[in-house]
Amino acid sequence: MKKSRLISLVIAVLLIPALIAGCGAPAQPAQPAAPAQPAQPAQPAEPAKPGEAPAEPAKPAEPAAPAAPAGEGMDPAVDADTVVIATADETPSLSTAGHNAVAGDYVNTLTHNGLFRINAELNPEPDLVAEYHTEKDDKGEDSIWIMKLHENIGFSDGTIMNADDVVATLMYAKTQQNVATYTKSVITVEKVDDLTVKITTDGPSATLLYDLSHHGNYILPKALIEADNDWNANPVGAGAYKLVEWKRGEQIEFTANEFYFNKERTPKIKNVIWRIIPEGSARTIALEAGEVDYIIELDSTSVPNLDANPAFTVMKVPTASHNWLTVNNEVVPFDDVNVRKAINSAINKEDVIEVSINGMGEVALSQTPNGMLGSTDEFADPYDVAKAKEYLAAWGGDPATIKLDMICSNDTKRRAAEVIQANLKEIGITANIVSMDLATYLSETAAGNFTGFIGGYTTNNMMSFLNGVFLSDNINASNKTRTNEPELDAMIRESFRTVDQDERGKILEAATIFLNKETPQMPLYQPWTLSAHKTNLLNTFITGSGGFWVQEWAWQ
Amino acid sequence: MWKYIGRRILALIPVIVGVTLLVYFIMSLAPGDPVKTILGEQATPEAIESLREEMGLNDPIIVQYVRWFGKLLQGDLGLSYKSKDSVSMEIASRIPTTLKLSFSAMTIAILFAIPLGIIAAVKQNSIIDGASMFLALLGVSIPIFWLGLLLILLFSLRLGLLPSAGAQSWKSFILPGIALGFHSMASIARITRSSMLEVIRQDYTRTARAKGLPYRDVIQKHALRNALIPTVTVVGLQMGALLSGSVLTETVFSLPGIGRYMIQSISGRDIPAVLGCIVVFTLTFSVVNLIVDLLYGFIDPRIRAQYS
Repeated sequence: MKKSRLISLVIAVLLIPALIAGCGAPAQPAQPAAPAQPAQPAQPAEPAKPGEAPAEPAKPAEPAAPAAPAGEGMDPAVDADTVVIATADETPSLSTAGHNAVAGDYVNTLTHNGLFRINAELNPEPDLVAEYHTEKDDKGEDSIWIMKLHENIGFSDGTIMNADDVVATLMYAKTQQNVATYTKSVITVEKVDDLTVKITTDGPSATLLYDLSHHGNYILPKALIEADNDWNANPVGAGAYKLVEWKRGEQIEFTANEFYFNKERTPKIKNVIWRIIPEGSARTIALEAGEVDYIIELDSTSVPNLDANPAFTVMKVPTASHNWLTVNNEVVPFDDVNVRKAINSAINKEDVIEVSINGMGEVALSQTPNGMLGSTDEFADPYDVAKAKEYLAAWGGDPATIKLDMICSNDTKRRAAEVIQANLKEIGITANIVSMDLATYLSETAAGNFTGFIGGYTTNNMMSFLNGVFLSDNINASNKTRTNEPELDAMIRESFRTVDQDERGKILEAATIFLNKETPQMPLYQPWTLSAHKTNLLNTFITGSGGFWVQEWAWQ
Repeated sequence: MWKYIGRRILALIPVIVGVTLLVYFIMSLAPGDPVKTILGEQATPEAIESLREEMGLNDPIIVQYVRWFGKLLQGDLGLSYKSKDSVSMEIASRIPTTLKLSFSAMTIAILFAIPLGIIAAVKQNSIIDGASMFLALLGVSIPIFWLGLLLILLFSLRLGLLPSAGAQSWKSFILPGIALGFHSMASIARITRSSMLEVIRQDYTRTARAKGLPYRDVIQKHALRNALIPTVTVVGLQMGALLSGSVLTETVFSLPGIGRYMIQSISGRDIPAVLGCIVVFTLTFSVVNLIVDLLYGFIDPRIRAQYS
């Protein structure tokens, strides 16, 4: 009896610390003497309300006001000359043209610059280019682009950039499979003088400036391209930072590039440490423990906790990432628009957002992303179960015969699929959830071996979105609905050739309305980009495409 | 002895061929295209086909395997599909972390497990025995990732004593070492206890005590040495558990080790990287088993006599 009591005591002693550690609220970092309001991050757009008139498209992300009241925050993780950034994924490569990964784009943007860059409003603006204009070709079309570089642009190895480097880079990018698509419209690149290049496109190109903003076209020194440089070891570029060391799987260290050309945007924090922390909760703990200063990908479950702590600022920014349930438009009965509209109307997207991403996003009604030129909710179906039943009646078949297998490649998608499964049951459709790893999911969905899947697409302009998701040329690749509509194809191609933004906007809007009527897939949501940092880290902001500029950050 | 070692090393060759062949075929036949994973959702059909050709993925699987194995014989593990860097270099940069993690976990496990097992055996049915075995039960029952997160919450976030992530210094390996070693400690402690219990009931132990030897000497010099052979076997087997456990531990503690690299490579269908990791794991496991076999001879003169 005595022995068992003692054993119980031992068990209790062992379990108490575990319970305290696991269930208690985390310790608050040192509180400032006079707390002030943290800076407000960019505000997400109001979600569209189901059943109401279509909502206005979300406004592009506004840069957040500088975070920063006096006395807020914690000490920097290392020192005032250094910022430590935690990220989930390691870049596959430091080369600009050797990958097409978001994780790689972040680091490329530190070490390299493009002729243009995407601003907070998702529009391209000149970066290395000082001025540019278009000229008419023989056919009288605006397909000749004359671009003049800034003077004295220094690469991080101390050499000066000239037109030869631009010519060599763009021709090199055309040969690299990972990024070749971003120079597709470029026919020739010629040197006019030391600072001027002439780019000829295959007709007027509305995408050229976006493409030139892509990391695949960041400018590299010609001499290193010709010398077959190892870009992972020696990623020389004209960015604000240069590589110090890449410890594989652990961290990448950068320091300010003393030859950086734009004196107005010279880095305010000299050193950047880019730490790879794959596990979401581990990233949050590292921030709370003061080991890192900024988290790029914040777990949505960590938001309430960090939001409540004035030492940290959470940024929630609407993104252009469009997520959906896709059905195979070539397979019976999903080839019938009434069936597709019935499924679309039956899904409670508010619930999907709540369950799959903890409410951190906004409802997507339109077939194209909110916030982009040409997006509209006109003719998009809101959540309406009665309407869904009407669509099924118009189809005329028995809903019990519809078999929908929803492929999901991660937990977020699985949670969304569970809500959809329950919603579809209400209109008599049986949906199954099928789990696949990412590689299998990508192959099977591209090949059309599916009835349905939860997926998404992220890009920073409407033309690329329509081209990737709906152009018939991309069936068996990124057009996974397998939409094959000549009328839509014509509109997408026309938009590529329309340089005038107002005109292009009208074409893109017409394409969106066409798609909203056809409903090739069932839009679900556009998630917010969630990031967090110590409140005394200033000038942080995130663009609608998820980009950010470390060189503008500063410690209070 | 040397002949024996030579034979064991030669036996590694068919093991490596068999394991890599099996993994190569499984990876190649599994659904999922490495090219589509590399190029992502935005890939065009032309880019996919072009990269597939460049990577030699249009060749028959056996041709691809023979090409890879030919390079392996020259000490070249090929290029990673994802990073285009040498797999040997990628693995070499990650091995030290995994070795440090495994070594610290094994050290923690052995340092605690053997005394715990001995005390539990010597004080059989006492409170100490009950508490030791309860600890061992916890060790085999608690998932590594959960224990890891608890340790981080307690020692990093609350007490601020140890780093929560990364491999910046020796301190970075204490928490992962405990998380990973706790499981092994439990297994080793349990086998040490049962082995000791068996030995201390043997006639020669009773004889030693009857001779009037101090109890401590009987345990240390007569019982422990004989009880160690099963323990050494389990320690060797635990190396395999540590390697597989390192995958989870490296993820929770953000350690840039080979376990995490292998998981990322499997997800990305990066076959050369996966095979490189498999070769390293196979070699490590085989070498550890060889060392364990040789240790038997060191511990027990009768086995040493069989080698010679």
